[in-house]
Amino acid sequence: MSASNVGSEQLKAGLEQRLVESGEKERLQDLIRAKLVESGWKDQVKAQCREVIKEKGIANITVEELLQAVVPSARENVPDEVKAKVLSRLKGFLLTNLQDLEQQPTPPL
Amino acid sequence: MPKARPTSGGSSTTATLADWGTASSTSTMSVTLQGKSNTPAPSPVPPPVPTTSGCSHLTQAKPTTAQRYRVFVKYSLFQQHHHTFTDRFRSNQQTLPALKSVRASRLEAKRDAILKRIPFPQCTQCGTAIGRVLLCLYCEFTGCWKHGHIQSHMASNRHNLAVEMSSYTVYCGLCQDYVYSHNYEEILRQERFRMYYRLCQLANPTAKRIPTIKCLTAPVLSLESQEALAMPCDGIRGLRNMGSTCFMNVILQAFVHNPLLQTHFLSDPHDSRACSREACIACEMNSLFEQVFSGNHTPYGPTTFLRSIWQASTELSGYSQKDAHEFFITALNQIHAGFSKNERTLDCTCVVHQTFAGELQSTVTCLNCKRKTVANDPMLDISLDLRPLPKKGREQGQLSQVPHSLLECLQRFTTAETLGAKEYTCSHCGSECKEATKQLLIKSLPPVLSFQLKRFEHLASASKIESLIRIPLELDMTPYTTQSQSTARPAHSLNAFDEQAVASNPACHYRLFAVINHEGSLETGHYTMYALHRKEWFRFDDDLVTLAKLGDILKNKAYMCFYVRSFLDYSPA
Repeated sequence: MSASNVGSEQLKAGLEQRLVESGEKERLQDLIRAKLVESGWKDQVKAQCREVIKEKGIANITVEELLQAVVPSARENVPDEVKAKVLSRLKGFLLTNLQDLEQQPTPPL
Repeated sequence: MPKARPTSGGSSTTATLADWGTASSTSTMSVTLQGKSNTPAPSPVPPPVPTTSGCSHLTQAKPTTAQRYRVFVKYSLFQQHHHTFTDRFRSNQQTLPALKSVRASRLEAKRDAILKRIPFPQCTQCGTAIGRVLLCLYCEFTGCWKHGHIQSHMASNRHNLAVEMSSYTVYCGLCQDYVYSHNYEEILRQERFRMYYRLCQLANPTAKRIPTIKCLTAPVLSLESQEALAMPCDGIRGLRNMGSTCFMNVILQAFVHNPLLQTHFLSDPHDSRACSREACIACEMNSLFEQVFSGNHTPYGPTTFLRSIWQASTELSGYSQKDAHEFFITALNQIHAGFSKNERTLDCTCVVHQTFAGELQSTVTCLNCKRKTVANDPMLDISLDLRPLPKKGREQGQLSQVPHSLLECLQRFTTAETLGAKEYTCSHCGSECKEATKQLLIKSLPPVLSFQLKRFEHLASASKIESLIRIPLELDMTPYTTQSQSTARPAHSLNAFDEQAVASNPACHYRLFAVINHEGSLETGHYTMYALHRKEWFRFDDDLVTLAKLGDILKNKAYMCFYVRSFLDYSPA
């Protein structure tokens, strides 16, 4: 692993920590949750999960298998509007936090 | 996500009720205890049903593990709502300084100090804080799923149980899956309830609530945890069509599957033998519930109910097709009359008003003198307009011309509308020619919210609006209440949860339990309905009852829909 790679890994961890500590992660999650309910995405995915479980039988399926069956299409079906909104919020967060993180990197864990 | 509890009959999606009913006994008890009954088992041995006891590793874990689980749940719940607390405290301090005693503020300072000391959850090995992060139930280890840190920890230390931070579910390394146990679910319920209570308090500090302790110690009738099995089709019975009576059947099914009415009428609230009222609908409701929960699965014809309604309301009598909503309102009024002699409906304690009654607030603002006139009106349900907006309404913002979802309908319902020049005369400034705006908001929400989507138009020419309206399974009513509008919200925005949004009040969260559909035209058509029964959706078409797919329910052109509050203050489940 090159030095710059280590640096970017550290930076990423630092940013993640900030995202959580500032409460921004939960705020974003609330926003995403509300948006996905509003657009009907959540109900759609729920219906899909039930289908998969019924098909395989409740005793023969694990959460991992369910995820494999549902995640790809669910990810694709997220409305573009929601993606754009979340991206712009994240960009805003990055811009305000990147600069002062680069100046004083977080101590190694 | 915990493993869903096995539900009966999940194998066949098209089985009719008659196929199902054959195996079950005729006892009126809703559950039969396995191995505890004295009577010998019935001769045809029922097929093996998966047990409902949950993961054995989790059930047999030490009590201290359960205690650790409780602490972790508290911690995770708190982490999840941390920002709500900090954001809200600040705004409350500004708006409600008088409410805060010295003691309360000291407590708060203490809490804030503790808050700062609680570490944020991140993987002990790589520091990942996003995605699936699990806490070991045996030691201090926290690990992420993405890089396999928690899995390797569980395998190498033989610590087989860990809690996931965001869903509060337990992962069992021996089962290789997320698992549940009734004991742990109960812990989660209690802690969730505590958090719900605190969030409600935070969202609306002045509201009166039942003390948490009373709600938490309410007896929980958990027969499932005693290895009991639910009877397959208990509480499900088709209703015969007695000549265009599907309008009545759908509403009766919606009553039967209403959790509040169910609890009320199964507790035998009305003594039919002592009742001397003629055509008493309360007596009829009693016998309806008796019939549905009798264990008999052959379709039932509610003839006496129909006769009583005919006697009570001349408009609903006769063999022609009727409007389900009209029947709904008439039936509610008649049930109310059976329980209470009180004419006032606002503070009535009868089951109808305790279940369905809310209050609407209409505010008229004179644009000339800015004076506001407020009026409160009782409501039993909300009727939502589906007609395209007139041109002048469209200028007001992002509201689309035709609504596509229930949320959009509600948005329209609560948007201030401009009254025409001669529609309103301000009593204060007396100006007649000036304009005014009128806004409707919900002042108090009932435990059960019912909506009517006005598909039938009776203007110059009667017609039916056939547009598809999306009905969400979960509904947050916070943005449509007076409370949210009073706490500084920017000009009405379509996106209720935009940047400057009000924190959602969990007391305003609802979930769908019944939908009524109308197929056909205005003059002639057929009513069917979907209802939620023990976490499974069923389709009721008069005497035919079938398992329903969630996807079908969401795709239908609903006429009425019913929501129940997600958290009932006294309810254990």
